[in-house]
Amino acid sequence: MKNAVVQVKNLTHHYGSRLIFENLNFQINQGSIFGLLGKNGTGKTTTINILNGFLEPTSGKCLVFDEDSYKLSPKTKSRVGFLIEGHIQYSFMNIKQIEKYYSGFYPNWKKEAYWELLRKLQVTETQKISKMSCGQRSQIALGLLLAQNPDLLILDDFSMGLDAGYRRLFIDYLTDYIHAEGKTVFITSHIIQDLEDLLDDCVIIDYKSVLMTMPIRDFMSKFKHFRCILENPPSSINKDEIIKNIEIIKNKTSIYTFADEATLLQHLEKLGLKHSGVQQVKMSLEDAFIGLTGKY
Amino acid sequence: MLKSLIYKEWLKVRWTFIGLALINFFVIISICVSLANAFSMVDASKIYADTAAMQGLFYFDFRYIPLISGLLLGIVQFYPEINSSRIKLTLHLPMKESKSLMSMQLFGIGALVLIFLVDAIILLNFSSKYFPSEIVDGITITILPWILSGLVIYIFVTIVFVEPSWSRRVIIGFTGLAFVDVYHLGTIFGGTIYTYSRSWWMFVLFLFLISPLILWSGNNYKRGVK
Repeated sequence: MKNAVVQVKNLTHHYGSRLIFENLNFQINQGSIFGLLGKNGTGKTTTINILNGFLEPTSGKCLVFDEDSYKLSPKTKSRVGFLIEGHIQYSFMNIKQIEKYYSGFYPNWKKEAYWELLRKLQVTETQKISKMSCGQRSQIALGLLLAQNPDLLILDDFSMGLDAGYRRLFIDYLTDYIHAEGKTVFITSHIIQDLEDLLDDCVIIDYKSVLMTMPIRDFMSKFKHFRCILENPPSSINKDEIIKNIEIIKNKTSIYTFADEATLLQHLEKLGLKHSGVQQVKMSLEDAFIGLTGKY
Repeated sequence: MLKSLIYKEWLKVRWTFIGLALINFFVIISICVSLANAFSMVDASKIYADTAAMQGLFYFDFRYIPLISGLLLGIVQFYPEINSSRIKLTLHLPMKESKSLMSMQLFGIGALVLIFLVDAIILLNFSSKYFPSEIVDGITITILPWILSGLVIYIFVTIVFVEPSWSRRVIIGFTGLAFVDVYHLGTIFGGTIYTYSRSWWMFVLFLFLISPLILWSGNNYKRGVK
């Protein structure tokens, strides 16, 4: 059994009386890339804040390297690299100053990893971070993470504000680093397509609940999208164990399910829904995510 | 690690620090020049009488300078931490959070003490050339609470910025202003002596008591208090 780097057990959080999520459970194994996917406002950043010890959960446990995430020791914190949503860094510093600053905190600081990445940017050493574009700032933040050389990387919506080129550059460097060093990554992104070839495991959360937790390959192979034409479709069909989501536009219907085609058809007949022209539609991770969580 | 943290704080406040040091220096020098001019034009005994009995003539320009210095330094040092939740970067460093926060605050206190110490040394040394020791003692006890008020406002600003709850920020802010007011109770030279001569040490002690409250605010931030 692989070592668990992060263990989230029955995590529940409220802001005041508002429930954010309930009984969130997942485990991140050493060397894996784990994605937390969910629509805006479902609690992704809240989970990351709990994971980093910036928020005390209402109930449940969150362990990072077997320590309570709310009381991480300095030694454990040095093993965790954290990218804040929006690639936030100290904008009053320049490229050289920020490298000098962080190098004092981490004994295994890999200066060359930072400068290798920064050489690709058309910036001078004395350029202030506040004068840089969002894409350039993302490279500074990534360079600092690579130089820190942490065992666990926590990336909160790394794609925020980045154009396609910078997103690709970020992912390429990240992938290369993770695979070369056997690092563990916990990642969220609002651009799901970026994560398709990156993730090993994922948890998909919806408002207040967990929709699924499984390896991404299993999710992509087991979760299916069927299109069919329903005769006299009702105005709405409830979701159930078989039908995870359904969209009806006139009589054209999209059904999302973990069941195979035969089981689904049997289920539709049981519900008294006459159908024709059933065909499976190939999905990207983004399609599957929207299929599971719905468009609204 | 501490060296790196101090490096960051210095980068944040260096221009403000230099600016405040120059303003403080300018005000102190202008007071000294006024004093020298007064003694060159008026009989010394009349100035002694004016200073002791008719309130100090030369030092009130300095009254709010430490207060403004403390306020500005606190804002310049802690606003970037709170803006876009950068304080998470500080709290994520491989140090105890209490050590990070206290070190940042002590850095600011140290910077202000340095400026105010230079102010006090110049002012009191210059004054001792013209005034007898009794009046110099009076000047000391007059400017000490003003200087301390600069440190008090700085400490309250740091607590307010780290505190995540707006309602608590307002309460802490108003409490800070009330305390600052106490440090400015003695508005006249003689009055200041009577007000503070026996209690000045309590005002110094108070600084040590309120300073660790930044840890309470930091804990509120960590708990996710809204």
